[in-house]
Amino acid sequence: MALAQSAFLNGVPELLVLRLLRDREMYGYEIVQAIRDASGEAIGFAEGVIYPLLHALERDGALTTRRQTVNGRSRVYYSVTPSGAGRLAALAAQWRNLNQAIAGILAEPRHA
Amino acid sequence: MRDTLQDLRESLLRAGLAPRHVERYLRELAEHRDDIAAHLIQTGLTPAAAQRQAALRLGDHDTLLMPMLVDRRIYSRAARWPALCYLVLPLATQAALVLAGVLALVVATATGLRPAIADLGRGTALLLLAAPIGIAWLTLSAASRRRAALRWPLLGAVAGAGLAAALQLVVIAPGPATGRIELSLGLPSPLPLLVLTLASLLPLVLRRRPG
Repeated sequence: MALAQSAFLNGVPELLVLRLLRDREMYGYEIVQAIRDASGEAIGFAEGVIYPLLHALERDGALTTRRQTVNGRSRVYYSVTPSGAGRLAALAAQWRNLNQAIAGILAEPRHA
Repeated sequence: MRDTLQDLRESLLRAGLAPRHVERYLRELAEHRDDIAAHLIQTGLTPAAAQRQAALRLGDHDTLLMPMLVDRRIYSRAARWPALCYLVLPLATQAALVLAGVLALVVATATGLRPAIADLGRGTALLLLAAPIGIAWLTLSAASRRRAALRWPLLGAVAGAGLAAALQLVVIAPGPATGRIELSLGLPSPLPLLVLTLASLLPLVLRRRPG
């Protein structure tokens, strides 16, 4: 399967967010902490940039939101829609293909 | 950090993003920064150090700005079509008000208000004269909120004042035979034009400059 350049370059954060939110709804800070925890801090990024991604996914219909006040703090909770689950499945398949292709390239001896 | 978010707000609005998207983004960024700081304070950092660290982790101005500029869906209509929003739409609203006013007078002649139609006509004419001022204030306020360039809102305000000054609504009270409602468009009189234009542009003098 051919992988679009945008998916290659930009699909990873989207994949991670959709995958994390598939299990349970979270607010932005929780999502970032979950990525940091799950990646052992290997994935580093300016934490604020998670929001443009979340908002874009919401506009695409992949995420839905609800605002809730917890301990006096207002939170916007994000969760995956059925459309988002489908998008996650497609992205995950693309990522596995890409991973396989790269693994193959790394494993093969290169001839001049 | 508050200044950084304030700077970011200005940059996003000036880029043409719709204010509601900007406010939502900034609110979530502020909440996120507070969460980071609260966590760091729990780990033993002083509040000042935690705030500094939280600001670093959140991202700098450009890092937070650029991803928001990519999606055209969150740009305001006014940024995409400024002439339509700040010139055509206000003028169309004003024209619609004029038509509605005349229609209301016509309808009133068939009711018990007929004897007072001349007074109603004068009142309507006064309202139609004042209408562009209200429309211009709303337009200028919307432009200011969006940090829009003033060219189109100014043109809209002047055009609205010109239209109002050029319109003549005359209502002749019905006599034994018949009355008359007359709407005409002529050259705007200089004094009403000047007064209306100045009154329309008043918010520019009164508004508080951001930052």
